[in-house]
Amino acid sequence: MPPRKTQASGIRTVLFVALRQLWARKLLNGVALSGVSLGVLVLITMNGILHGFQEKFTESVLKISPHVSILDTEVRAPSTLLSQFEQTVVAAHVLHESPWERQTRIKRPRELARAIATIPGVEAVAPSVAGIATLDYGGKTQSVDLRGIEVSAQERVTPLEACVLEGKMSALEGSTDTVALGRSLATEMGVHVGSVVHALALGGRPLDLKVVAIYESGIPRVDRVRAYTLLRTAQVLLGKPDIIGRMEIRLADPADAMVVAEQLEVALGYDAESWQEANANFLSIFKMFGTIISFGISAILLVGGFGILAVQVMIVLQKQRDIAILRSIGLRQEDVLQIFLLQGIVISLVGGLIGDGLAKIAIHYLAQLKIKAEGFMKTDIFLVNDDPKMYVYGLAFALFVGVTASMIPAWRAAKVEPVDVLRGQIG
Amino acid sequence: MSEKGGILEARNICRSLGGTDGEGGHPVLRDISFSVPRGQFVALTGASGSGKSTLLYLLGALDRTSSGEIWLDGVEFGTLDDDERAEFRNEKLGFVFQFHFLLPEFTALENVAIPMMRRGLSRDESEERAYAMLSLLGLEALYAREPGQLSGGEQQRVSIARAIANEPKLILADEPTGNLDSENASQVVQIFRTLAHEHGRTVIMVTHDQHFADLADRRIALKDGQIVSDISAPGASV
Ligand SMILES: Nc1ncnc2c1ncn2[C@@H]1O[C@H](COP(=O)(O)OP(=O)(O)O)[C@@H](O)[C@H]1O
Ligand SMILES: [Mg+2]
Repeated sequence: MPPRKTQASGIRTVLFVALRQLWARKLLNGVALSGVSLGVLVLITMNGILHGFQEKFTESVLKISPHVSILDTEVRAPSTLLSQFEQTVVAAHVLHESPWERQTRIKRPRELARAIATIPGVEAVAPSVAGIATLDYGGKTQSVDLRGIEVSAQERVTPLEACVLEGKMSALEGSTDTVALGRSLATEMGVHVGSVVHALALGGRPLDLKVVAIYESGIPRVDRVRAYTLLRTAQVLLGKPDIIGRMEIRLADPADAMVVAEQLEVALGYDAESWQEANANFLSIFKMFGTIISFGISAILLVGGFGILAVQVMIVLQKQRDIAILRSIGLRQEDVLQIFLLQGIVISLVGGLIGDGLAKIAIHYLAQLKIKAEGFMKTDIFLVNDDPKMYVYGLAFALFVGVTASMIPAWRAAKVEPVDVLRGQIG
Repeated sequence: MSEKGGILEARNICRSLGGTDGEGGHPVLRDISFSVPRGQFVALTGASGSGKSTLLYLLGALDRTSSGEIWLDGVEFGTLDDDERAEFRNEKLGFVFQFHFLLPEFTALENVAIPMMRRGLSRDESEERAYAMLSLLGLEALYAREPGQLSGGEQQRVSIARAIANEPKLILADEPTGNLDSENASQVVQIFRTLAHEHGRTVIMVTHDQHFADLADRRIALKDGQIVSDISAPGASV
């Protein structure tokens, strides 16, 4: 008896038979294959679009937003003993001290800023004050989110100068009666650089401010309602003399923001907010879209899988006789199993590769698409991410679906008893 | 030419069908015993439903006996697991069915080559030898055709070439002539005779046709699952 070469010769025979039978049913297998291609195409492009928009959003947020903001809300309970009853204590606070009467503030801001600046990973710190004010111009009144800043320090945290369309942010320092406005806000009010607007806030002193800069950050929230003045100007206008109500921080790596915010909150006792927290509602929209898209993609891939399943079940039923022959000439159950499994793998692999190719083309054309979008972010081209990783994921997903789907038919094929088939024939 | 004791031996085999898991059911074969030496051409006859195919599947290691033993070349089938049976069929057995049963997607050459590939030969080597097998049966000109492009007689000869591809000890043919005209049928029977007498293969052929049965060295007749006669032709090689 020759030495057993079962393994290698088995695989060689399996490959030969599987590929030939696959090719012999081009149309049927092609349908199953198209399902897989479609699934992979959708998987990659939808993810590309989602990530494209999300990355653009994150990028524009990070460009002009602070990575961490320290607010003037104290979060540390006054006594450690009472800290277990934090909720009650805060409620008691609110009851005893009316917020109108008590000016919230960050205490000893200069020392704090210096201390924060020494924390590793912190690139810049800028103290500011914030409040609601109204601006009047030519009979039009707009409510704004007024920020009093130290221009150069703020520029290091939220570099707005590059976003300025008219005038200059640094011109704020020229005089105390100056203001910088977001473009949408300026357009709404009909003001230009040089216009003088009348500013007014509850509890403060009204001021006439000259517009020295109009910027466009790309984030509608900022461009529509934000106005910048010098720190002193805002303090006067808002009636918060010498008060620092915010401390904005830029980090070397924005990904650290949550951790740093947590640490600062514990160390300082003030509420510290990471950019992720500040934009949580927008980020959660992306998350939700991601979930919806995942469901859609799963459904499509599932349909692709069912395509393979249906086609293979049909082929296994049609091929009972051929399976019986293969078994009678010496193929093992395992060989028959592998024949159909291999066909599933080939369908999904080729389908996946075609899907990859189609996705590449689709992304190429989508990226050239001109659109006009101005929701919570502004863009004039279709944002789509071309991430090589997604192509690998797509292929892996296709393979997973293909192998899973062909498992049942392959197993059924392997279980075909040649005698049952042969007895079924007239003879 | 023949070995003492024979290469194929059936000892008291019984097979019941229709029951669950081989137990119970209708006894199709009852206490079948016989021994066939190497190089003998045996005709298995009997009325339809007498159990000829059932016996052939058992001898071909495609089915399992309810009781009794089948020995081929010193191996008892009952001791083999499913994979070992597959390997056994590949190396020691060759089947020819009434409806030739070629794989429709493969050429004549490839159909003959597949058992050899499974055995471990390379594709080139298998096809080279398959071509030689086809030549032996006068089919070399048709090697590149698919089964659909061959006549019934040609297909049956291709399936004989496939059955002898791995030079099996035992060739089992279930009514191989049943679907052929008389000219092709006698050609096929002649091939089996040659394989037995000149190549030393043991051949068991099921047939209805008395004329073809008479061409065999020995005739075993079944009736209701039992051997009713076992006649060796005068002047046969045993
Ligand atoms: N799956 C089965 N279940 C029950 N009885 C069967 C089955 N297959 C065949 N039989 C019976 O076994 C007997 C022998 O069948 P078979 O071996 O095919 O006979 P032959 O080949 O001589 O015509 C017949 O009576 C047939 O009805
Ligand atoms: Mg029969």
